[in-house]
Amino acid sequence: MNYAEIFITALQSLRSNLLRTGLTMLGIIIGIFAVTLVLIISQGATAAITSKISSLGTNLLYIISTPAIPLTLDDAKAIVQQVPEVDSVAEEVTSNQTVAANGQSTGAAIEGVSPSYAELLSLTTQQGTFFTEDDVTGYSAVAVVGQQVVTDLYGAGANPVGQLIQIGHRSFYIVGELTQKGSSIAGDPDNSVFIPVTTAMNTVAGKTTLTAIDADVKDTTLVDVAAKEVKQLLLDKHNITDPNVIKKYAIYTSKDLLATVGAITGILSGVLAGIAGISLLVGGIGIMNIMLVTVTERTKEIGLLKAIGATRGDILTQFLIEAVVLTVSGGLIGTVLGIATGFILSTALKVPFTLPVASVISAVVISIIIGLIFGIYPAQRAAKLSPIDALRFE
Amino acid sequence: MNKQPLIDFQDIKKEYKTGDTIYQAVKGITLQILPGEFVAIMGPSGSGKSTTMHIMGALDTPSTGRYLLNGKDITHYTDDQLAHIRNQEIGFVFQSFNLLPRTSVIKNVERPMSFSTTYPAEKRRERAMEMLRLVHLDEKAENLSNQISGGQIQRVAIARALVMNPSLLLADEPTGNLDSKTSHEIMSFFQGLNEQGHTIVVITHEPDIAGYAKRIIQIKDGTILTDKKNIHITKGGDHELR
Repeated sequence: MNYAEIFITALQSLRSNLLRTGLTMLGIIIGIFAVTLVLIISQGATAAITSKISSLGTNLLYIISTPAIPLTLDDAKAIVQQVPEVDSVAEEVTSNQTVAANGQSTGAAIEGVSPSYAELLSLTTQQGTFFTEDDVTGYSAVAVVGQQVVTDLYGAGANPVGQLIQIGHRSFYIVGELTQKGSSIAGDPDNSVFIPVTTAMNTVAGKTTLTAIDADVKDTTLVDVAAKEVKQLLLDKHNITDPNVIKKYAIYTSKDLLATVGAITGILSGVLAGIAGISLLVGGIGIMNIMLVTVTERTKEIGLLKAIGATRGDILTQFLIEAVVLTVSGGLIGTVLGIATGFILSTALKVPFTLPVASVISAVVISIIIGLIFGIYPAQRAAKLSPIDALRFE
Repeated sequence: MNKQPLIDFQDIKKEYKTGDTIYQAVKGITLQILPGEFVAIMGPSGSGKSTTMHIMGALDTPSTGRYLLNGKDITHYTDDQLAHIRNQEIGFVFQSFNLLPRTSVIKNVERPMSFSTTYPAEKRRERAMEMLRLVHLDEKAENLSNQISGGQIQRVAIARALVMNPSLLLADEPTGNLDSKTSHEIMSFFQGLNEQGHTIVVITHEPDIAGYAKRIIQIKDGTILTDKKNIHITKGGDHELR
């Protein structure tokens, strides 16, 4: 008996009890649907995060202030002077404050930075200009505001340059408005107000230390070397002998960030895939159950087929293909639903949507394997039936 | 020279074990059936006639004894070898559940051919139509098996039984579910097939049905009670099926 015929017979028998076929497939549909969806969303999220990290440049080194080694402006100066791999540094003092202007107020991140920070993170202004090095050395009360802050305080599209903005108890003169950038791993510049780092330490944040130093390394390949040298420099400068005081996370690179993101999304996908796997297992058991019922129901049919010459292999093939047709149909329905939902969710979550070709192929392969694994036992039961017992069955 | 028997039962015995008790269904049957015969095997239920028919039809193997079918000793054939014998040598007509559900008449008749290479796939439909014409059901070819009458089902079963051109047509209570008029038609048709040279064995407990055969074997308690030529053969008339 050729496979096309067996296939048609299998379809006929599945069609003869549509409700049961549908309910049986449900487990597989849900399982494959979950697998597909998880793959699409995690791929999209990973791609989105990765592109944001990469957009910052892969030759950046982030040095974070810790209680053991509180970073100072002096440290930043030392790094750029003494570590030859580092081209420039940008200091950062971050605090969250309420800002007020034009009779409105809103919460914003106050970033005390140096002009090199704007260069490092490719921040550009659409109105006015970024403040200068002179403003930093002169403790100027000037500010560059993000678009969201402008919208909140002045309304969308307003030009705030030349206006005064209240940060804490001090007034700042707005010299520039940033071009919209979107949030990234380095924060959300749209909802930030940038002021000279010196002014920030002195008056707004009330700190003598920096939050972090961003160092621009000459070449991507030198990032690891630079990280090591920066570490040694900081240890020497702060008179610390135990190198473990500088924790792993205190100095990190884009590569580290990417690895961390990869690890987190990997764990998440793993957990979700595990849940999906359990769903597939349950679905498979459902298939086995129904196939066993089918074999019992069709005992007479099996007896008749054996009487007219069907061998064990013929019967086995027939029922196995029926199980596989069941799981593969379920798998394909699940894939289509998964892709459709994935597309909608990706759009809603604003993550890039990629058609997961690999997941479609793996869904089909997984479905076939489930059909074979959970179909083999019922099919063997059918194949082993003795023709007379089967014909006598009532 | 004698003709080689088509069926050669040599002291066939069959035992069934149920728990500790051994039940002897067939207690030693020796018989020969020659090609071209029309035999009725009779007996009440529990006589062992069904077991005899199962062994004869290669659906089961004897516990002891030898069974030569067409000169081949098939006593110790494996399941798959027996399946091949059933496919090639024997055409079955059962009392009930003869046709596959949800399947058209013609597909039912084609089915035995799908288990062998005798007929290539493209010749099967033609061959099945030929058989359906023989039983005058070619117009019902595309009907589903549940859309035809009981008498028609038996005729489709005959068409299917003949499709592989078997050496033996084995009918187990073929008229058990039919009214007397339709039963008469079916048995007359068997007579006609026998006249064309087909070897036919009918298992029945009804003397009326056995009356159509040329030879009647009575089985009781697992042994042959009588084995006689039928001297009052019921005449089936023109053997025409309607």
